[in-house]
Amino acid sequence: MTAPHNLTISEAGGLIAGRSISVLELVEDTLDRIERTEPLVHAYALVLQEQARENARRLDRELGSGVYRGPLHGIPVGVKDLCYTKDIPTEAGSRALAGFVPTYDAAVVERLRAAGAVIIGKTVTHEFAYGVNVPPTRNAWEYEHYPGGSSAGSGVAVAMRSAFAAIGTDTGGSIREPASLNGVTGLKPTFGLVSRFGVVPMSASLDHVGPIARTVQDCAMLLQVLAGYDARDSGSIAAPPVDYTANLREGVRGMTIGVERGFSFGGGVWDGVKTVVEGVLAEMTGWGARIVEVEMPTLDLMAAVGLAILLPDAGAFHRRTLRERASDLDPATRVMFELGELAPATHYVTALRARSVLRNQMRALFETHHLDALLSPTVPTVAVLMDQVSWTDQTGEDPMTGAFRHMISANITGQPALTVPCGFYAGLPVGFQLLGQPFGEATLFRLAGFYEGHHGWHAMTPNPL
Amino acid sequence: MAYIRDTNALRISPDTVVALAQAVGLSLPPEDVAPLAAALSDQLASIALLDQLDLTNVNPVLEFDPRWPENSA
Repeated sequence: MTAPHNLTISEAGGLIAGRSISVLELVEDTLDRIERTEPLVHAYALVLQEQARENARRLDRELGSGVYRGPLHGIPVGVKDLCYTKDIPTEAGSRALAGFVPTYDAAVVERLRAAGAVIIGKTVTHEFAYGVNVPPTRNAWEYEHYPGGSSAGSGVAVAMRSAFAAIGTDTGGSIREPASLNGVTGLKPTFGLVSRFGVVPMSASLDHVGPIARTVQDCAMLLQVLAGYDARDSGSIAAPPVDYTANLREGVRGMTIGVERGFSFGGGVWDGVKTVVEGVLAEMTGWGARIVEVEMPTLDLMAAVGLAILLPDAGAFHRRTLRERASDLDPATRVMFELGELAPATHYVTALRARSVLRNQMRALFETHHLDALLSPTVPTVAVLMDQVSWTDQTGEDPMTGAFRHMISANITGQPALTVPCGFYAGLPVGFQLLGQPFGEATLFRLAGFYEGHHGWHAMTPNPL
Repeated sequence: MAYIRDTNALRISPDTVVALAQAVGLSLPPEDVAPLAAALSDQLASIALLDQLDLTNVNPVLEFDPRWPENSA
């Protein structure tokens, strides 16, 4: 029999609904898995053993009395330690927030609890999600390698089977990078689809919250629970409800996938990564999708726009932190906050104008070619060794910078972006990214779900402990 | 780390960084001055990349909405 922690959410949820396994059994198995894997990967900032057991017993009692909350009933989920959790420490990976205990839950945590999920722990984040310091977390596949960030713990916990899914945040790729580098699925939803209420902010217009899970179906099930309007988030948008799991196996025949090679498959992308993702395109073609070569030379400008917005936004939010708790900040994070204070306001406004132009160009690209999605490597490399994260290549770019440049487009335009595992290079996972139309998550799940249905990447376990 | 590195950028001196920080009421730890000068130099240079866009009559996106016209009814 498959060990419970190796089940997908849909499988485990089915067993719980059918009373073949209790919530407490599932939680105990997950806690055991955490105990065995944490010394290797350090995915958790805090494990909530007793709260999780208490909630598991309550959810079992509910089932016994005929109350079933849905497919997440009893499923252990990790939450990035950037998200507020009522009466539970939330430290955002920073000594500057040491001991902070929120009095309320983030909106995503509220929704998870209401759906019956068990919050199993708080996952490690780079300090304040900036992604510039070195976290204790290690890659699930090779412990000397970089886990991705800033939702490092979320990506690694899901890959290590020490959570069935996890919440991440994404301001410049922070859901997609750790998901891709650890061989799992991650979604940065459309801006406004998932509430950011109760999440420590970086940038009001670039921040997103979304799910990381083992399979496309699990990711879609999570989004079903997380999506929805929330007046407490000024960026929230009331979108029509969608069934995200409805067409996962419908096939891709007749769908149109754009491929932009100049930037997305360009200089910084490792040949081994390109080869793996080219294989995805070949299969999509074989299944009847139409592949269209497209051009967008200004993709290269997205990073300049993103940073010119992100730096002052984050600097402004952390203005007091910088003056009152500067010595508690990691030096790398502190310099980024300082940089945000010194960046000219004229540059900020220029970037906000450029954002409008780039968004319109992206819309025109999709409309001109009737695209359902753009397909590319998620990250230009596989996970590098921890001590090579800041090494520069012949172009003068380090791996973290390259990843940011590749993923920031979706944050600039607000489009949904889904990363899906598609193979390995040098023994480490490779993911492909699907960038969709605003609120086109169901289309991305359809493309990715069909691909996943023909492969077993999602079922591969990094460590058989 | 610097997300954008432009080796041809006008380099901002450490003294200038300290003066700018003082102007905004920020006291810099000495060890931050050199990396901040380098990062600020790169960041100031990167905005020049956007000169290749025609921003005539383009308003800044002050309240972001990701919807495209056809689905923003």
